[in-house]
Parts: sequence; C-alpha cells; structure tokens
Amino acid sequence: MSASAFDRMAHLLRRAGFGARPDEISNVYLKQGFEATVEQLVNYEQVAEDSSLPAQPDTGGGNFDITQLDLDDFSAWWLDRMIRTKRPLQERMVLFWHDHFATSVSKVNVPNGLKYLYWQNLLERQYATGNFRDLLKGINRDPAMLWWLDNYLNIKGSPNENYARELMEIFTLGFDASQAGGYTEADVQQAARAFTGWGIRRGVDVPAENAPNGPLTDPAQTVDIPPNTPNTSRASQNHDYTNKTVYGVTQNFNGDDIVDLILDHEPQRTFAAKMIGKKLFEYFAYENPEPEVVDHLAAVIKRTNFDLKAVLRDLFLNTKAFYSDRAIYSLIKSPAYYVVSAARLLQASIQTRGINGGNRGNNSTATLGAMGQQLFNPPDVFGWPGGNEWSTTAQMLARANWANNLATNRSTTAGNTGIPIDTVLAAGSLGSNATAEQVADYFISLLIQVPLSPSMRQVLVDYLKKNDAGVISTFTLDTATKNKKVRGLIHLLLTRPECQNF
Amino acid sequence: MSKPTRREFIKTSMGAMGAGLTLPVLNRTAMGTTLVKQIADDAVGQGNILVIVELAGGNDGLNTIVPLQQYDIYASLRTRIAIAKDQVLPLFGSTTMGLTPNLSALKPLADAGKMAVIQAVHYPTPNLSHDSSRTIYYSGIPDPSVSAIGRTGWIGRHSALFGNASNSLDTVGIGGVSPTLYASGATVSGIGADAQGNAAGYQFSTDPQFAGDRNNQVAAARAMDALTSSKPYIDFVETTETAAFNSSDLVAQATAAYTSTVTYPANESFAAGLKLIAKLATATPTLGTRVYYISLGGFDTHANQVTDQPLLHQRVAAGLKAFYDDLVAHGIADKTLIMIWSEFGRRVADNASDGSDHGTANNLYVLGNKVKGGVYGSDPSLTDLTAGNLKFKVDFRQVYSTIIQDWLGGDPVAVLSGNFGNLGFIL
Repeated sequence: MSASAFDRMAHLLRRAGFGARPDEISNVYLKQGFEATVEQLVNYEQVAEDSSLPAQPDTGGGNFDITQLDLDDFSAWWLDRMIRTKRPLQERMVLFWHDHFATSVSKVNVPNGLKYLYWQNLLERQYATGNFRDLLKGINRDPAMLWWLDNYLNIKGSPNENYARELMEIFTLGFDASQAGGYTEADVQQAARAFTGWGIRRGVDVPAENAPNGPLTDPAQTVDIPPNTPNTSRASQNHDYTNKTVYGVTQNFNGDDIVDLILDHEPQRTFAAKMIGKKLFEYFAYENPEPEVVDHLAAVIKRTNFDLKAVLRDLFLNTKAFYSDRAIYSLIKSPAYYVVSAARLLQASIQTRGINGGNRGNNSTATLGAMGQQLFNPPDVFGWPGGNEWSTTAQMLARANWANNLATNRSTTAGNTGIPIDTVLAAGSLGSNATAEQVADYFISLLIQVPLSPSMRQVLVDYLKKNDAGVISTFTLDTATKNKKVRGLIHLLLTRPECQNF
Repeated sequence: MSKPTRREFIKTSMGAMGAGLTLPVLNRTAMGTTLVKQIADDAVGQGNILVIVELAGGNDGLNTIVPLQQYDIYASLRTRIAIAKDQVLPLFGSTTMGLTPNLSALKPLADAGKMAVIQAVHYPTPNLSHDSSRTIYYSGIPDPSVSAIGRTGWIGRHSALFGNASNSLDTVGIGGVSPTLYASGATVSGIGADAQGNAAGYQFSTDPQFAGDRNNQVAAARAMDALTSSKPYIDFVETTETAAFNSSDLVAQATAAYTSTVTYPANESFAAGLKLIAKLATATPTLGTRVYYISLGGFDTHANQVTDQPLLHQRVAAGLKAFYDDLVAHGIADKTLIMIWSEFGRRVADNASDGSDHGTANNLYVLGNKVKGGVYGSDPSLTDLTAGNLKFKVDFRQVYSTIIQDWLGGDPVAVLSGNFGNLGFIL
C-alpha cells in the first residue's frame, strides 16, 4: 500500500463524508484509528446531530407548512443539512439514493407534488444505511415514485409495466442481468400485475410534525396498497388477485412479495447483491471495479441479508481496493459534493436558498442547476450521468463563479456566515508571521489534499506576493492580505481542476 | 449521374409524400452514418444561425393574428379582450386576418416579405399543462409515454448528429439552457446577459471588492492551466477548463469588439438578451455558434390580458426589430433565421377576469431575410372547436423539419423519428 496513513484517512473522510481538515485528520481521526472512525461514520445514530439543524424546511417566517413547500425551501434545507451535519455518511447515502431512485420534479409536478419528493427524501434518509429490503419496500409505496413511474395508472386488465421494469432494470438487478438470465420480459409483465392498484390516495397529507429525526409516519397512509385496503376501495378493485408467475415461481404475489422474491430467489439474489455492491463501490471508490471486488462485496451483502451498514463497513475497512492508487483521487465531484465540501472545509454556513436554482436554466449562472445537477430534477430515471459529463465549459465556469461567491462571502449574519477567515487560518496554525509559502501549502492541503507540482505551487506563492501592478512584493499576513489575497487564493484553488476531483 | 445528396434525397421523398404516399420511418442508425458524410459535402446550413424565441406561458395567438374574416364571432366570444377591428393592421394583403397593433414594429418586416405566419400549429391530443406542452415542443415528441428520449431536445439531437461537439459554443442558451438544446453528444453553453447585453457569468469572475487584483488571479489561473497535471482524469477537466477560459475569452472579445448604430430598448432584459446574441452572432465565424435560444415569460394571461399582453407584444416587437436592424447593419441578416413559438394558444372565449385560459393550437412566426413571407396553413375555425379550443392543422414537427432540412442542414427524419414534410417557408 503506497499511500500513508494520513492520506488513507483523508481519502476515507473525503469518500465516506465530504472531507475533513488536516488538523481534524491528525488530531481526531488518526488518533482514534480507522476502526473507530469507520464505526463513527457508519453507526452515525450514535453521533449527536448538530442541534441547530432545522428539522424541517422553512416555508416562511421560520415555520413549516408542507402545502407551502417550494423547491428553494426544500433544497436549501437539504444543502444546509449536508454542510453542517455531524453524520456525513448519512447525507452521502441520501445523495446516492436520490440518484439511484432518481425522481424528478419535472414530472412529479402535480399540485403540491413537491411534498411527495420531500417524503421521498425523508424515506431515503431514514433507510440511508438500513436494510436494502426495507428501503425497496418503502420505495414501492413512495407517492413520488408511484407517480414518477406511472404506477398509479397500473390497473388490473390494463397493467402499466413502468415501475416493475425499472424495479428490476435499474433498482435491483441491472440491465445486464436481463442478458444473463436474470429476468425476462415475461417476468416484468407478470411482476407488473403484482403492483396493480398501488396508487396515491389523494388528499391525504402526512402530519407536519413528521421530522427526519423523529418517527416517519407510515408512508402507507398516503398510498393505497392492496390487499391492505378495504375490499371496496378503488385500489382493491384495481388490483389483480390472481396468480402471477415470476422467475418461474407461481403465486398470488403483491408488490412487496416481488421485492422479497428478487432478494431471496436465486439467481436474482446474486444479481441484486452484485448490482448494489458494484454501484456502492463505484460511488465510493472507482468505476468499473475488478470482478473479484464485486464478488467480495456481493458475498458480504448476501451473508448479511442486504444490511447496508455491514457492506459499507466492509467496504471502508476490509476492501483493499478502496485504498488503492486506482481509487484515491480518481472520482470527479458531483456539483452537490463540490459545493458542500468547499463550504464544510472552509467552515462557512452559507445562505443555501437559491443555490439549487429555482428552475433548470434559471438566470443565475452559479447554481447547482448551472453546474448540471439541480437537486430533485435529475434528467431521467437513470439519474445524473456524472463523471466527465459534469465538466462542460459552462458547468466549469458555474463552479468557478460559485467558488468566487463563496471565497468573497464576508457575511457574518447567522445562517449566512461566509468564510470566517481568522478561524480558518487558526485551524491551520497560520499566525501573523506566516510566509506566503506556508499559506499556499496549508490551503493546498486543506482544499486539494494532494500536493501540486512545484511549478504550480510557485504560481500560487507568487500570486500571494503580487501587488496590483503584478510586481512581487513583501508578504505579510495582515488583515488586508487576509481579506484580499487569502480569499483570492481560496478562489484559485477551488477552481483548480485538481479540486474537481476527490 | 452523381449520387443524390442527402438533401436531394429528402426532397425526393417529400415529393413522394406530397403525392399521397406514406413513407415508412427510415432506419435511423443506418441513415445516421451515411448522412453525416453527405451533409458535409452539402452547403446547406454552412454558417447559418438559428435564433429560437420562446414566448413562455402561452401567447394568445388570436390576439396576435386577429381573425378578421370571423371577426363577429371573435368579438362575441371575447367581449372583454377583443382587439377593435379598426385597430388591426393589414397583413400580407390578407382579407381573413390581420396583425395586432402591438406588433406594429414588426410590420415593415412582414411587408417586405421577411415574415412567415404559420397558422393552427400544434399536435394531436393537446395537453393543457404548461410543463407537459413545453416538454412536447422542447423534445419534438408528442407521445406522453416516451420518457427517456422524450427528455432530449430536438435541437440537441440535431446537434449530436450534425453539430460540432468540439465547439463549446456550438449551441448557446441565453440566461440558462432550454431543454430544447440538450441531448447526449450535444455541446451546450448557457450565457447570461446583463443589462448592457454583455456576457455576465460566462467568464471567470473575481472578487468585485478588489478589481485591482483581477489580473493577478486570471494570470495565475491561466499559468496553472498551462502546466501539466500528473493524472489523466485531471487532464480531462483541465482541457475543459482551458476551453472554458478560451471560449469565455472569445465571448468577451466578441462583446468588446461589437459596435452598433442600432439602439435597443433600454432596461429590458429580453432586448438585452437579443443584444448579446447580436454581439456573439457578429463574431460567428470565430465562435461558430449555430443555434441561440432565448425566452420571454409572462404570456400566461389568465387575467388583465388587455393591459399585460400589449406590453409583452411591444417588448417582443421592439426587441426583435432592433435585433433585425442590427443583423442588417452587420451584414448577417441573410445568415440568421428567427423562430418564435409558444407552448399553446389560449381558449377562444375569454374568461371573467379579463383574460383567457389555456388553449391548444396557436400561430408560430418565422422572421429573416431568407424567409418566404406570407401565411402558411389556413386560418383556424372559431366555430369548429374541441372543448372551446381551436383544432390544429399543422403539426409543429413540420415546422421543425423545414428548419432542419432547409436551414440547419441535417436529417429531419433522424432527428424527429418520422417524416413530417416541408412547409417551404425558407427560400
């Protein structure tokens, strides 16, 4: 293993969270060691959450009225949570599920449909690292999903196969499985019949006290799930109670039975374990992993019966490939990750309303939308393409310009605190006699976390020393320099291509 | 005899269709490969610019092109919002319809034969939701069950097949990017315009508090880009970033080099956006942008239409007139085509709030020196309605086909997954 313990710990914290400062890595995480750190990341229920995090979005005047929810309130609430949470792996996993079960406001645009996406976000947080089976059964009856994939139109005698197909193709087995005997077109058609009648019961709202830290009101309250509904209900009348044959098994299945069948019946169980193991590894480590890595994770998943905490713990502790050179610094940050990690490392508590961009193609050129990832508006059911698709010129400029907004945010207003420059410098032990070289090195280690080439570092050192005429002059870390040059350095580093990777 | 070019082939096909034959949908993949090459030999589309103007919210087409022949019915159904007959401007010498006085600034263009009005444009099974109907126009796919492909834009698919993917300014959205321009393989940039029509945002911005330090920051960023990074995955982002710097420089140079004798309406974002397009379009040989997209909202006139719609129309007309004059002044009017559309028209009868509700078929307008001016399609009937709404007569994809085939240079069948014919409004 070529990477040092420090570099491996920094890598773990970047991937399983949104990154940590060098002083935190040395003084906290390396001291407690990898096992304790992974435990803290994975078993986050034991970590006290920041009590100042609002339990619900602010829909005006500090109140929460779900009927007044708009995309700005909602995404600001989530972004703020990602920036300040003490449980970063939980939010990283919510982002993962938001992409895995990609559901977009562009179609769930029924009146007040945003509440459906809000409930989906709560569901994904509740089961973020729970059992995959429970999560799938939650998604089965998630109103946003029932709308998004048209299951509310799926009725006896006239089945709509959209949800059953994506459940197998995207959520559990993967398209490749259909080419390798994992499922057939007939399986999709038969499984669709098991979901007939599952639809949204209109006009039923989850109570406003429903909070992410509190008990999630049973989402079944908002949906009609045969046969758990009165026989006279529309849902029951629309449900097909006759036998279905899926994967060669014939029974009167309902939707939850299909999930159990996928996760319990071979070879579907193995396909599902490999699919989710590979996808988690690709999210946390690197793309196109070796078959033996996938097989290893799939074995863990099957042994623990789809316990997500178990597979994540194994991935971060026992899977050597996670710490290999192929993994470290090989992924491109998603726009959400980019924004959250920068704000966290620089200890800013920025105004998050508006960052998401109210509409795709909104006027602001420094939003997540302009960067290509407006939350709750993935391009389609496959989620965001990611990787190199994040980097078009306009998207890179959107990142650079957001970075400039952050670097030059000097606000001290609570809830919209820009970079507290003295606090940030103190965390790096940079006093008034610090040299330009020390300042450059510290911020490279904070924001990029791998060394830059000597010539690139020199460009930054020279930048710190240059006056407005472009002439290198004496560097003193005084108030004026902090306010101008250090903030300029932060902007330059956040804009570096190296800082788009993690 | 040499092999027919792609364009000749399509024209031949259209001829066949005109004779009443239905053509099968052609194999897209097979066509795509041969096509690209043949198009490259073809002059169609070379250096041409398409400007798409979206009137978001549902422009009331009946108060844009007023149905004079059915005026009594029009006036009786629209007692609150009808435009007075003596105010309606004559158009193309037509006795059946005329132009709203609020678009009078565009009348000289119409009189000079540089404007086409296409009547009763829409699609089967109209959807009265703004989002759904927009998505249909953005994608060029009216089938609501199409999900994944339905989310790519018709210009995006054209760009992927026939555009220049290596040019980061191949297609440009002003103030953001419309889904119309998106598709895998298409290169799209969103550039915002400030009040002066300069490219706010599409540049490497620096601390506004310390303008004197800007040169240092830009120089440092570019110096680092010029150095080699150690890892291939960083190189990719670095290449993009260099392209971003270079293209933003080109945009900045274009906007800085631009001078004009034309005065645009002041303090008006739509006109400022058009001005930015003019600045970029005048530098087109360098920038290579083929399609610009700009949108103006506010047309959802459920109430107080009599006050709101005239102001919107005046903004549209004044902005576009200045833009057209600017194109003429810069000698690029022959190279620029403007298409103006809205997601639906409005209900024939007005409502009690002095406004009009969501409707269906609408008129669509095309402006430019290479437009064959006049009316296309026939006036919609105000008595033969479906649920109070106009019946459509021209499929909107026929407009797209015409533009793809005769202006952008490309294969409308491949882009639109079907043969919708050519309306012939391009010279």
